[in-house]
Order: sequence, then structure tokens, then C-alpha cells
Amino acid sequence: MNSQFFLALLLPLALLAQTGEDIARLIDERPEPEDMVSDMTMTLTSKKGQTRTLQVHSVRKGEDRMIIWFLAPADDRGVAFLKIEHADKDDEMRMWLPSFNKIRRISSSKKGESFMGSDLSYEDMTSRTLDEYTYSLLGEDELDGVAVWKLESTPKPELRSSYSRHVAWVRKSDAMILKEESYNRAGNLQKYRTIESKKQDKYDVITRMYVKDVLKNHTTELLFENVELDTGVDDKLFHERNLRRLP
Amino acid sequence: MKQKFITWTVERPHQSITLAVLLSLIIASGVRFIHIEDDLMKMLPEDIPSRLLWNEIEDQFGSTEPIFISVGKSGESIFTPQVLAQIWDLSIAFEDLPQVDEVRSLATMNKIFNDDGFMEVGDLMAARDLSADEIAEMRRYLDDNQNISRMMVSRHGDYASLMVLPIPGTSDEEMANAINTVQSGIGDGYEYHIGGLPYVRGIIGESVRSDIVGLMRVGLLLLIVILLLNLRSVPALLMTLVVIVLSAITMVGFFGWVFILTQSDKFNFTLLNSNMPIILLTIATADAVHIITRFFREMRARQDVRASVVATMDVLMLPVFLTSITTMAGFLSLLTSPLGPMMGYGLTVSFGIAWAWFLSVTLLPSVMTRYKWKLSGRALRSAGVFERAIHKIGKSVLRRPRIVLGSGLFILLVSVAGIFMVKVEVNIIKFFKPGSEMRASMDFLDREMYGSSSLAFRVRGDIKSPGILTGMENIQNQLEKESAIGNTLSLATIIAKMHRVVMDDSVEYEVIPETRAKVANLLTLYSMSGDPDDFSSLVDYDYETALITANMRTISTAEMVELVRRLEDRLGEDKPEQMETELSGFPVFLRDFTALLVGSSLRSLTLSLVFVVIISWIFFRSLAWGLLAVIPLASAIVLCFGLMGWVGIELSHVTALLTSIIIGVGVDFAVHFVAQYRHFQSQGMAVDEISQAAIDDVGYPILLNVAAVSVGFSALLASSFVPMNYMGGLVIISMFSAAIGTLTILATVIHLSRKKLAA
Repeated sequence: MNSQFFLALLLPLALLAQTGEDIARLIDERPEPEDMVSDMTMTLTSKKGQTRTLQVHSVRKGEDRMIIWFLAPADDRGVAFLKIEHADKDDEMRMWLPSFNKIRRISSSKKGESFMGSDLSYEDMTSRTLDEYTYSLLGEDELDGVAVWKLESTPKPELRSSYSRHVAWVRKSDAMILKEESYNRAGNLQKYRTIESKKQDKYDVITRMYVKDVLKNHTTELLFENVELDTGVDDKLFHERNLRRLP
Repeated sequence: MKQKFITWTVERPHQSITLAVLLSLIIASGVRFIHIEDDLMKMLPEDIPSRLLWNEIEDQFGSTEPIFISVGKSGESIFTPQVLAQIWDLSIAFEDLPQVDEVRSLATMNKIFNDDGFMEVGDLMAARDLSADEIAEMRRYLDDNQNISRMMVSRHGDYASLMVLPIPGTSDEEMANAINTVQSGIGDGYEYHIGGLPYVRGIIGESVRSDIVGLMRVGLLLLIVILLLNLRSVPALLMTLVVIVLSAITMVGFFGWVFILTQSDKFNFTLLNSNMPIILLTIATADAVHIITRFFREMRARQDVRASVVATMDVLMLPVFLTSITTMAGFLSLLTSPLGPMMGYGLTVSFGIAWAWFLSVTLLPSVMTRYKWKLSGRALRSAGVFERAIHKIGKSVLRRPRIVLGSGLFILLVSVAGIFMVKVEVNIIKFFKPGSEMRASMDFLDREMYGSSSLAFRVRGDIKSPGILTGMENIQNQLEKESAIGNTLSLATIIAKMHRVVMDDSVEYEVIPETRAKVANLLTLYSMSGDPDDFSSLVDYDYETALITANMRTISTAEMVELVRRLEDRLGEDKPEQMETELSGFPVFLRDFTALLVGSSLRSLTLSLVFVVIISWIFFRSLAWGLLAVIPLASAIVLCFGLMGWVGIELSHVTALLTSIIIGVGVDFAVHFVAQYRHFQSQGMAVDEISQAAIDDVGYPILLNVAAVSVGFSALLASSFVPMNYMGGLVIISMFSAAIGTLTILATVIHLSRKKLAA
């Protein structure tokens, strides 16, 4: 062991990350649970202040599989949604409609479209692949007293993103994103989101996400509860026959 | 008091002239504060139920009134890569405008379709540049979905429609300018037809104003020529013009001062009150012409300027004052108008009348005194054509007064019948002459694109309930039976379409599902891939209020009333109990607004009649004379409105303003006649001679006034805006009506009752 090794151990993470790409890599390398089971409450607020609240039970495995059962409101209870992402073809999205006793596939061609009527799009919900973006460190800053990097991510043209760029406030201590602004193709701020998290096991688990579409003046608040991590969810759960079985 | 005042104007002309000019210029300096407001919507009342409902709907669902832009080439299909790329570019450019809320076009519409048994929600046009296969697929979808096709593609497939919805509250003028800028920037190589009420409203203000300014210049020139030919004296003409111009600019300056001091919308210079200078022109001309022609007659008799001015003012001070206050009272009655700008208009014109009176009794006699008249001048040597003509007319009228009166009353009776035929009507298309660019565009949109205006039904109830949705479908079916309606759209249309797609694309399922739960499932299904804003123009957040929109060709108020009645009749029985429906849209609002304006104008006329009676009664100290003074005004009203009925000129929110002009001239002529008659009476003239003398005396300025103002207003007949033509024509008719009412009916009634009146 040479002296440089000891220095690296002593220096905080911050000093090691010098470029935007380094920070993006740190974010990408953050530990993620294999699977996550949670209850989510989603509150949508229109520009006139009217609200609509949905409650769902969701199970995720990895970055590519998700199943959601609607619990409330009463109109939607029993509706269920399955999404399986594929790297080489369009994602599969299926929905169980209990009143029709039918499963229906829905379109996945529009990445920019809203997810469940919220201010999050399917693109927002999809994990970002490191090499599909270019990165630039805009500087260092403080957010609510916490030291952060300001990281700009620009999607490469082949991604055909609905955004022109994102600016994220990344906590220096653990590379956790605390806030992110997303700009539309015309270069105007379209939405921002703030993220609150807590430590659970070795992971930082999101407890609240607040998204505001500033162009539409519409907001979404997501609250996560009863979060269980790495419970060994079976791959077989992500099958359309399970959509009918409200847990 | 009167004598002292007259003596001051004659003895101290410098003081009088300086005071009048200085005060006029100080007030006129307020002209720089004039606030021009071309936004028609700001002129209209906010508190009538149809406007409140319309505002509520716009607040909840965004604008329901699109601007329609059709693009294409006659006879050539729009389904080519080039035209579709043009539609794409235009859609993006319009969407990028800060004034625009939403653009509906082939490039922005979603399609809901069944693909291999699965429901898809996707873009109708996925990219700017489409292949032949993609275009063919798009055509197939449109062929299968006529409700979308009818909204977006012309009847012959050669034009595409873009519907641009402005953000509520955006000024129409700003929106129209932005649309024109985009269209002229991108629009090369194709034909464009732009219409829709926000666009028409946006361009009409400035167009009418520039049209009216140009025509009024011509009108003023014609008025000058007529006055010059009859007065036969350039100085007299200039004196008249000084009074007219100073009165007009002082009034406009007053308007500016009041606006800057009150910041009230009532004092915006708008389309509704842009005829203020015209009104004042007629009134100020009348005052000045009466005084100058009287002065000429006095000069011929007295050959002394100062004595002639004193004699003129001695006789005319009272009638000029009386005509001014009665006319002012008429205009002040507009303070009860439901329209803010009309209140400002009434107050300002009243001030203008007062100022015209002030200048006529200060500046004019002082200038006449100061000027060195040539006694050998033609005007002072001999009577003019009208002066000679009026004597003959007077003789004819008084030779057979019963026949003249009988004929007059007969004409009035015929006119009364015409009044019942007057139609209250606003059809904005008819504002433009056939062949004009705007009219051609609106006609094109109505003919080829299923309409250029829109209606909206607000529906309240549990919108997810099949009963309500079926009720909405019924309304749409009934609407689509109407020839004026192009196509309709509501949440019910989309629910039925989704139902069909979910049920394996079976046509039999393109109906409202039978349970509420199914409707809810369909909406949730859509929300998983659609945008939360997709339905925001059709239903509220809580699914308690929905909107049915219908494109329609621009129809008349009468047709509108009939259409609403038919719909209500048909819907009455089928409508679910828990469903509330309300009809809205600019045509509905305009119908209510016009009725309000006509009511207000008629109230103003009635009040004017009452004021004339009361004021004349007080000043002539006789109720009989008060009632007589009202005859010309009443007969002018009857003749004018009767003629409108017989000729088919519609009473709209523009022609209703005509009532102000009738008040102005009708009162003026009558009061001058009665005052002169009473003057001769008081001088002890023989009873049988008074009528002829009064006609000789007052008839000439009346005829001159009618000729000058009528010729001036004839310029409006050349306007490209139909209401301006009507305005010009009706001013002329009202001038003639008032003159005839005074010189025949009033004169003969007085002549036939001369013995009683002398008692």
C-alpha cells in the first residue's frame, strides 16, 4: 500500500469526483435493492387546486419489472397494471380491467406521456443508462444546508428524449439526487422534482417525491409507506394472471 | 343676464375668444391620454347570465372558441407528405405562441385504436415526414372516425383545419396578430382561410377605425363643400368649422382627462363609442349654422355687424341652450346603460354638446363681431338657394295643412307597421360585404370546413354515470341533425370509442358502457397512457361537469333562438333527471347582449322624449308646447325604425347606436321651430303669418344642416363594413325624418291649432 491509497481512504468522496461523468457514475453505482414492495399514495393537484388521490400497492423487481394494484378510489379498486421493460423491443404494458373482466395492452410508444395521469412521464420512471447522456458539472452549491454538486445531463440525440437537459442537485456525501429540473426540447423549464429519503438497511429509500409541471401548473406528490426491500420477490409474480389477484 | 352676456361677447370679443380658445385647448390637451381599446370583449357587460356562464366555462375548460385556419389547395388532396409537413410546422409554430393554450390539428390529435386485439393510444401523425404507407394508414383511421375527420379535413379532402385555442383572457387583437405573423412566416405556396370569432373580433376594431377615419375625412370635405356652396362665404364657413373642430377635440380631450383621472374602462375609446366625433359633428354644425344663417338675415336687414350679432343671439340664445340641454339629457340617459363604454359615451357626448353650446354663444358671436364683413358679399346681399326654397316649401305646406298632415300621419302609420318587422339581429358575417376577404374566408369555413364558430353545452351531474353520458350523446345526436352544426365532441364520444376498442374493435360496442364501473375502468385505462390534460377541455377534475362542443356555421340571432328552442323541445323528454344542461358560446352571449343593448337604446329614447316634454314645458311655460316639441323626435323615431323594418335593415348592436343621432337632431330642429314660433308670438305677429315666418326662419338652417350632414355621412356608404353603410344611410334618413317631422307635421299641427295656441 502506498501513500496515495491511504490518502484516498481519508479524502471524502467529494474530492475524488472531478467531472460530471464521475458524478454520474457515482449515482449509477449507488446500491439499489433487488426488489421493493411498497404502498404508495399519489396526490394530483390541478392548476385550480383540485386534488385527486390514488392509493396503490406496488412491487418492483430490478429496474425493469413492476406490478401495481389500485386500492383507492373506489372507482379504480381492482384495476391492476404490469410493466416489463425490454432493452431490445418496446416495453410491455398490460392492464387488468375488472369491470370488463379483460386484460388490455396499452401503448408504450410515447415516452413523454404521463404515467397514471401524474406529472411523471414513462421516461421519468425509466432508469437512465449511463452512456445515453453526456454530463457536465455545473458547480458546487448548497441545498437546504447540504453540500451538493450541480450536475447537468444532456440526452444524446439517438435517445429521442422529450427533454433537452436535466439539472440535478446531487448530495456530495452519498451521490443521492435531492432535486432535479427537467427542460423541454424548446429549452424551457418544464418540471422539477424534489426527493426525500431515509436510510433503510443499506439503501436510501425514497419516502416522498414532489413533482411540479411548471408549464401546466400541475403537481404530483408521491408518498411511500410500508416499504420492504430484498424480500426475494419471485419473477413469476410479473405475469398478467397475477393482475387479477388483488393482494 | 342674457343681455349682459351677449353684450360681453360683442363688447369684449378678445376676452371671449381668448377664454373660449384657451379653455378648449387646455381640455383638448387630454387627447394624449386617450386609451384605445380594441378588445371587443372588454366592452361587453360581465354580469349578464350568458356571459357569466361563458366565463365560468372558459375558466374551467379553457377557451371554447377556436380560431380556425384552413390550409391546402383547391382540388388537391392534403394527404401528401408536403401538405402534412406544412400542417406539422404550423401546429408547432402555433403551439409555441405564448398566447396559445392548445392547437388541434392532424399533427396534434391522438388516435385510440385496436392493434392486434390490444388498445393503443398514439399520435394520429407520429412524425413530420410520413411515408406513403403511414399516410395511407392515417387516411384509413380518419375514414373510420368521421367525427375526427370532420373536425380536421374539408368535405372534399383538399383543405386541413387547424383549430387554435387561445389562453382565456388573451386579447383578440394580440391573438389575431400572432396568427397572422406565423401564417405569413410559414405559409408560402398554399391557400389559407382564417376565421373564427376571436380572429374576427381581433381584426375588426382596427379595420373599422381606419376605415371610418378615411371615410370621415371624405365626409368632412363634402360637408365643407355643401356649407360653402350655401353659406357662400369662406369666413362664415371657417367660423362654423372652428366651432365644430374645437368642440370635437375638446370633447375627445375631456374623454382622455376623465380616463386618466378615473382609470375607468368606461372611458376606453372603443368600437362602440368611436362615432362620438360624428355625433358631435351633427350637433355642433346645427348650432353654428342656425346662428350664422340668422346673422346673415339680420345683416341684410340691419347692415350693422354688432347690432346683427346682438339681435341673432337675443333670438337664438334660448333655443340653442334648450336644444343643448335636452340633447344632453338624452345622452345622459345612457348612464343607465348596461354597457360601461356607453355610460362613458353618454357623459362625454353630453360634455361635447355643452362645449359646442359654450363655443356657439361665446367664440362664434365674438368672432362674428370682430370680422370685417363686406356688406357687398353675396351671402349678405341675397338669400341662398335653400333660403328661397324653404319659403316655397313653407307656402305649399301651409296652403293645404290638412292634406300635408294627413299624408304625414299616413306615412307614420305605414312606418309603425314597419317597426313590427324590425329584426333584432347580429350575424357577424354580415358585417363584411360579400366578396370581401374576411367574408370569403368565413363563408369558405362554413361551406367546406363544417363551421367557423362554436357552441358549448355545459353538463352537470355524475359524468361517469352511463345515464348522463347517454344524455350527452343524445344532445350530440340532436345537434348533429341541425344543418348549421358541423360536428360535435364530448367525453361521451371518447368513452364510446374506447369501449369499442376494448371490446375487440366491435362496432356494436361503440356505445356508452352499461355500468359506471366500466366507464371508470376505461378512464383509468386511458390515464395510463394519455396525458392528464387530454380531457381537460371536456371534463373537470372531479367528473362532475363536462362540456359538449359543437362547430357551427355562423348563423343569425333569429336562427340561433330557433335552434335553441328546437333543441330544448327535443331534449326535454329524453334528458336524465340528474343531468343539468346549459347552452353557452359567443353567439348565445351576443343574442342576450343585443337584446340588452336594444332595450337600453329604447329606454334612452323614451327618456329623451320625456326630457324634451319636461324641459320644453318648463321653458315655454306650457305643457301643450312641451308636447308639441316632442312631435319631430317621435316622428323621426317612427319613420326611421319603420323604414328599417320595411327595407330589412336589422337592429344590431351597431345600428342600435343610431338612436343617439335621432335624439341629437330630432330635439334640435323641434326646439328651434317652437322657440322661433313663440318668439314671433311674443312680438305680436299676426297669428296667420307666424307659421310661414317660423318656417322661413328655422327652415333654412334645418335644410342646410340636413344637406351638409347628409352629404357628409354619405361617405360612410362607401365603407367596406356593412354596419357602417347602415349607419351612414340611417343618419341621413334620421336627419330627413327629423326635418320632415318639424317642417310638415309639427308645422301643420301648430298651424291648425294656431288659434288655440294663441289663446
